[in-house]
Amino acid sequence: MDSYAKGKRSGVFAVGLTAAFVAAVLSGCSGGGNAADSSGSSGSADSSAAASGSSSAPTTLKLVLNLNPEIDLKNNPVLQEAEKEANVKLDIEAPPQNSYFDRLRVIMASGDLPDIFWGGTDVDFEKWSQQGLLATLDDKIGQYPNLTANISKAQWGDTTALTDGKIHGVPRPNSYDRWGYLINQKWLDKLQLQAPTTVDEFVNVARAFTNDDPDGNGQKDTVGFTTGGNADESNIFALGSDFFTTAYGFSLNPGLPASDGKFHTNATSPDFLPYLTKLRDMYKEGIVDRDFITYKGTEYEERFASGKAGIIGISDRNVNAFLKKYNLNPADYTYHIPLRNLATGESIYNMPPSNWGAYQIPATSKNIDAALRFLDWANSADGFELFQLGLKGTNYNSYDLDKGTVDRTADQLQKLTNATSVNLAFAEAYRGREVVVGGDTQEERDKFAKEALDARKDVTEYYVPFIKQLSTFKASIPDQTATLASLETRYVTGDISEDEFRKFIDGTYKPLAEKTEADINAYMAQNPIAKKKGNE
Amino acid sequence: MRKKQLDDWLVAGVSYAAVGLFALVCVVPILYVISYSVMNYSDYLANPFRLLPKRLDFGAYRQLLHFDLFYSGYKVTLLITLAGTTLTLLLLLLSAYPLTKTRLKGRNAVLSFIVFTMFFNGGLIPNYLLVKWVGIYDTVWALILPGVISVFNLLLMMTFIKTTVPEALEEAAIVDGANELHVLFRVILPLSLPALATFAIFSAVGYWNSYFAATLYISDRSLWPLQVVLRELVVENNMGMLGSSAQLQQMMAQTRSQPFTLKMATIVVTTLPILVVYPFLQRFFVKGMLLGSVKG
Repeated sequence: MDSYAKGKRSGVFAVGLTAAFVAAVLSGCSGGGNAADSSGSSGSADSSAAASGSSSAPTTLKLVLNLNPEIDLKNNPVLQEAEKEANVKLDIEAPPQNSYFDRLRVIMASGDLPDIFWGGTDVDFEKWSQQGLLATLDDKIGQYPNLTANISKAQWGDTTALTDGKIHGVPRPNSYDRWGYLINQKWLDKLQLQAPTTVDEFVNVARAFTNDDPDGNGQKDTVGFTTGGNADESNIFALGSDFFTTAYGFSLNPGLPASDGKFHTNATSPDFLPYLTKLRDMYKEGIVDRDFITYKGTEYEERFASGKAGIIGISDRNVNAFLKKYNLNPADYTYHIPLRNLATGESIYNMPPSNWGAYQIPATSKNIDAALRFLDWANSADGFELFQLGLKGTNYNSYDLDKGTVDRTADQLQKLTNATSVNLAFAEAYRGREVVVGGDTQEERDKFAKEALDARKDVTEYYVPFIKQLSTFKASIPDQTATLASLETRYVTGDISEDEFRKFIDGTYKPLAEKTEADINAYMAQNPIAKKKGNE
Repeated sequence: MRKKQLDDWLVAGVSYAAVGLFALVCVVPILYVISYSVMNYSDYLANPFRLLPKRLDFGAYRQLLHFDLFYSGYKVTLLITLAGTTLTLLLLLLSAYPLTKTRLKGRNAVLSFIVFTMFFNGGLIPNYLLVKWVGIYDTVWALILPGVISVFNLLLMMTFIKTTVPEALEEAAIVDGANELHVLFRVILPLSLPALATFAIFSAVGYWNSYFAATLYISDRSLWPLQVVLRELVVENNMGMLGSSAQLQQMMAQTRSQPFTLKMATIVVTTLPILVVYPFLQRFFVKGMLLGSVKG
């Protein structure tokens, strides 16, 4: 009996042991943690785009793209049309946007690479170029007329690696942003003020917006100016405050000369402390939104839209869309150009070549030419219109490429959100201009023309080249970069003195930045800024 | 005597006040989320600090229900929670029971092999490659199998069986004619139910809240679990920035015209099921915390 039982038991235990082995293997995937939480106008260029490949069988291209969750990748009419037009089969992998770059790094490290992937052009791009993971495209791009026509030489500079000076990606071309500010015109009218053009006027208007009850509710619950939303570092420098910082020769995007005529990393510029001190004074006085330091994403937009802040930075082309998004009366808000630079007296638009990342092709891909052929077609007028506007008849009624005007209904626009997006579009701009200019309605376009286009005559546009040395420098000293961002914030909030701040800048940061600064000045001597008076 | 009564009242009063305050601290964020999810977006913009809505507005929920991913996310999460939890329990029982038997040949080797993974694991990229090579990449199994068993839980389960089920009981069952399967499923299983119930809850909550595996192993959007969909809608990326194109702004205005209240509605809808069942299962959590802590 006992031996029988033992024999039978050993059988069950063997099954159990097998289960235990399975458990061991599966637990190996988890580490030691709790279950599933374990890891916790078209020209001649357009016609030749995909033509050379159109007679042959379609090539399957595997793509890894950063797409918004609204896009439906199954039975997508825009993708189906693109496949037909470009004679390809698109196999798209679109990881969640919030973990896109982590996933991309894993894919790149795994060696199982796609034919095309979208990515940034900073540290990872430089690293992968250096490691030989990315195809070199210098000798090839000349064969693709739409790529050369739709992407300027300056824009190609974005995908030219610092390490070898070669092109390792196809930029996703964007149109230029021109950062000015939006002001509550009703408040200005009530307080009988003019929109500010200088830093002093700006401070006075911000003060009045804060202290003189511009909304007339009898409470002191308004503030002059709000900003924020810098995803990378602190909110001391954000695109939303470019209209203000350009008065001091700064912009979130590097490239503006300082008052001494040289190019600096922000912290080493002679204008750095004067700017921060002005912001510090405004912070102390409470005329800048004190919460701006901690705002993420669009929180600062909501502050302005709620009628509690009177001024916000904005790109001129987005005024109408912004007002529509927050259901604000367009007549109550006006757009204005940046404050005058303290050294030159100009209002400056800082305009680096505008790309929205780049499409990179792994060196191991067997479909490099097919990938380039597809990207070439996507940069043609047909490709641009399809990916931006969807299908004619379904997503819009008519489109004027020369004017950038579209006739579409709200229902058509709603349908478009599942079919494509600017994330899916392989070109954000066609020949330097975005798909819809000024707005969807004549009223919106009139406002845009009156406030943004007309005002350009009073602005000097600084067409600066891509300066990649700065982001590479910052990435090479992550601790000091983080310390600088923290000290900037603490200085503005009054937490540290000027001496304490200077000690870090002069003692630690300046020596580190010396070589990069020399490199940038040498680079800028070879790639000088093209200045253009607006509307020239 | 009266003074003692007064003291008792005082102690009780202070205790209730402290506990009440603590409860308030816990409840207010939940109320906040629910309240803002049904708040009119214009009212929210006008006064972002209003705790109770001026008027009820279900616009955020309507916008949320337009997301197809929301429905597929729910389905996937329910599937992985049910299947994952079932598999976890089955494997826990099947692996823990034999490993409690000291006379089992190779037990120590297997146990060492298992415990080894508690301290060392392959890491992100080897796991990614493993999932690809075994052919479960971009399938629902990639959300279930990696981590289906926690070594820690396995050890707890072994301890529980060892300390709760007397060997004599197994012997008695065998004497009465039970075979091994009968012993396992008619003796060990019923006596292990409290522990299994606790592991079921931990596992179910773990699967319900899991998102990392999906961010790594899933490309097909219809296989994104609810938490990934939630994260995509709630966590800000650069899409709302004023520097993006007017076209993008227009399209965003179509689908996310009230970003903040939409976030709150998303949080409510994704956490509601677990919030509803939690009070009924709380006692198992408490029991689970004590599991294996005292040798009986």
